[in-house]
Amino acid sequence: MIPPFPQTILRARRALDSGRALYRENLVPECHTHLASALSILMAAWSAQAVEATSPAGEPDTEANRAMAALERAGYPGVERLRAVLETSPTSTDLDMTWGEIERLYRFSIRSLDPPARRRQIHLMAAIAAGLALVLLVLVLWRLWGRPVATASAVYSPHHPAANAIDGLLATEWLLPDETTGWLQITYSSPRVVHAVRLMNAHNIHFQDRGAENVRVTAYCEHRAVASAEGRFAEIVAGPSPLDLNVNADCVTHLRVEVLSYFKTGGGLAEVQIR
Amino acid sequence: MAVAIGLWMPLARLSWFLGHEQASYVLRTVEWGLEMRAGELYPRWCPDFYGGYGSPFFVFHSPLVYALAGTLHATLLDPFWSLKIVLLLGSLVAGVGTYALVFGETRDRDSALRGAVAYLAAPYRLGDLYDRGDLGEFVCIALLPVVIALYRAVAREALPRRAQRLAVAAAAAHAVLIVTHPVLGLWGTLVIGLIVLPSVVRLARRRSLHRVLLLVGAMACAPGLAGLYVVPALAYRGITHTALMVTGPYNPQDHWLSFDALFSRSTPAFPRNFMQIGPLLTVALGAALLGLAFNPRRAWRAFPWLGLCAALVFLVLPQASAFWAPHGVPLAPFIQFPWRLLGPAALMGSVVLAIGAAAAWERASDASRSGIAILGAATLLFLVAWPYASAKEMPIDKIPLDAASIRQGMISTAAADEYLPLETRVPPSEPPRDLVTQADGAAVEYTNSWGSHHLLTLRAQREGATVGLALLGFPGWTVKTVTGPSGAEAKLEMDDHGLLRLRLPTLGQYQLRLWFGMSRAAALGLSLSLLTLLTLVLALVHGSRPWPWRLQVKVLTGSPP
Repeated sequence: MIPPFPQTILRARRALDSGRALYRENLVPECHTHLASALSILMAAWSAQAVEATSPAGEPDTEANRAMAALERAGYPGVERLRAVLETSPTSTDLDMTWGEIERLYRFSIRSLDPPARRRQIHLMAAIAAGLALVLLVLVLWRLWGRPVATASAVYSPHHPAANAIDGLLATEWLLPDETTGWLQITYSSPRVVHAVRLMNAHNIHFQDRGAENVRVTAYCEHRAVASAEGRFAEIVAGPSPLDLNVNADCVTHLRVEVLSYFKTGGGLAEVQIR
Repeated sequence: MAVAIGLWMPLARLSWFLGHEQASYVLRTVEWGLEMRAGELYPRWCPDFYGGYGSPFFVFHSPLVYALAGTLHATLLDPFWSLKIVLLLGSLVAGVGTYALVFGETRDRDSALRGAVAYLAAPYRLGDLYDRGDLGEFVCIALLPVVIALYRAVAREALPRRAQRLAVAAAAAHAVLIVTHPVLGLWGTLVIGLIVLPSVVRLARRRSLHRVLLLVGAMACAPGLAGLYVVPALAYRGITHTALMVTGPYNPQDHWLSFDALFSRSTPAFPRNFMQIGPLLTVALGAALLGLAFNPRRAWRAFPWLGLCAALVFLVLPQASAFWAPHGVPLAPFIQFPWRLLGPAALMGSVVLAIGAAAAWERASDASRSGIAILGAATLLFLVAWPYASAKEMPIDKIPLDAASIRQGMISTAAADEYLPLETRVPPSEPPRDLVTQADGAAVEYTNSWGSHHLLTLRAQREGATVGLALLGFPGWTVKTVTGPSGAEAKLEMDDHGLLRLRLPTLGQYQLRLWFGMSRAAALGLSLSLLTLLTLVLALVHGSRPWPWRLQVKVLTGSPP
């Protein structure tokens, strides 16, 4: 009596694993015996699966032919190759072909065993994983190339980089080196419309000794300056110190804020906000 | 995995650590991240090194560590944590890879655990991280067991489809190894070749030509896949000062180790001697001999690994000094420090230890085998690894983390200025004031720089006007004339100091875009990588549902068509 299909798969798997273990030990003929045994087990199982299947017209009603008919009906893509494998006795040079066919049949048998609900579940899981990967990719791409980037002519120290001027925090500041004028540049990932620019002055927390005085903001569209405005901060104050400038332009690819003069020991800005 | 994480933990507790490389990797990661944000998927130029004159550093230095850490830094984390995460991955890969390699050799989980812990605990592996700070090499020797395990699995797999997939994975992992560290990528490939060779011979004698083709093909595909990095690095080696890498303090002939140094806890050069591989090798040899006494049939397999290990250790000794002589073995002197081979040697030693122990205790009960494995692993951890798994805190306040600070620091992160182009005889001494250093017959109307991308608007006041730029010349610089007078195009050339110069052929205004793009060698390397990738994809789908037809290789086997 033929055992149920899942148990047959287990027996085939055991035979395959034994064959693989023997191959690892360099025992090739013994390996082939086990793999051939796996093939026999699978063919018997397919033959038994197809109770109503009959051999193709003109061919004897053997187990192999019944299995072939069942496999054909199940959509197995390599029936002819399998038939060739069954009909020839392999030599050492084409063992790979025989073993490859056994491996393919084994994998197909496992897939056929899966109930449709489980297959649907696997497809759903794959779709969810692909969706998550896509979201992650979009997030990474946005973080890489979707955000503006700030660069500067110089910085006072590694704690006061240009990025501090566009991080949304008034507590962090971009500061220039001592007694130096300079510029801060914001580059956008794609051209954008700018109506106005609000500059928040630096004051160098604890020391109150740094801040921009006269500033000029220029908006560029690639090589062209498309708008410019100048302004002056009245003094350094401990709290927020805004300066609104009317810079109105389309197609702004980057914005340069030049610190033309400074209070006390050097220039700097806490934040550059675009509207 | 717990051991791998545990041995990485000292790093997690520090802001950054004081190794021989100091903050070099942090600065390079920052540069990679900045270039990525400027639009470069594979940056090859460090625009802020040498005060803004730039350096082709990433043309020569293997990119994997920077690519992973740089992407993390450009998207999410600070450069310190980005590197720490890459190192954690490296540590995990080393443990899991060695476990897989030893399990493949012995089919014994206890021995696999023993081998993995022995490798994780190896002083050289830990010293590579905590003392040397050579993060590229640390990750490279972490990948080595994975690659060997995959190639060995290909040779031992009976099922052809599975072997095919393993071969593709082996080639891909091997390519990743090559792009992780220039020196150990090369030497690792030689070690892998020596390990794969006996399998190839065995399969050829068995006339399994499909398998021979698979193994040799995978080995050949690995450098091809890494062509993106390998081709330009080899092509442009001659136009930089890379010759300085093997002279003076970097002459490999001066960096041999005495036999005693392999066993001592400290040496005059290294107070914490991470080259102390002797105890591991002694234990490994003991295990192999014990295995030979109890179970010779299984223990003999340890001896080819032992031979390879002995050969690698021999190359570190003064007796092998002639091997590293200049103009001898091609590319060999670029190892700089032959004791770098102690990384692969430690891996071989761990495999010998595991195979020997597996053979010796094969007949013991499961419980006693597991007990011995756990006891052995714990002993290795506390006696061998413990003294090496610590680092000194490095203050991070002064490490520049943005473009302007790096420029102000006149940094190159190359101790011998080896990647400086040959035309530039002396490294620049101070940062340039502007992108344009001099204009002869031209006026500068506008400049804007973002990483290695520059926009310039120039007005030529006479024919043949020139504009000197504060950028080191190197293959890859490209200029595009966005608008020019009556279709004239600006030309890029190099001045006597190796700096870039723009030549404006006719009078008028030029709007130019200048960037460090893809050189000819880089394009060739990319083509090679893509071609190899295509080959591997075809190999992967061959025989599967998308491509079920079998390739006819009967010509090779001599069968009739």
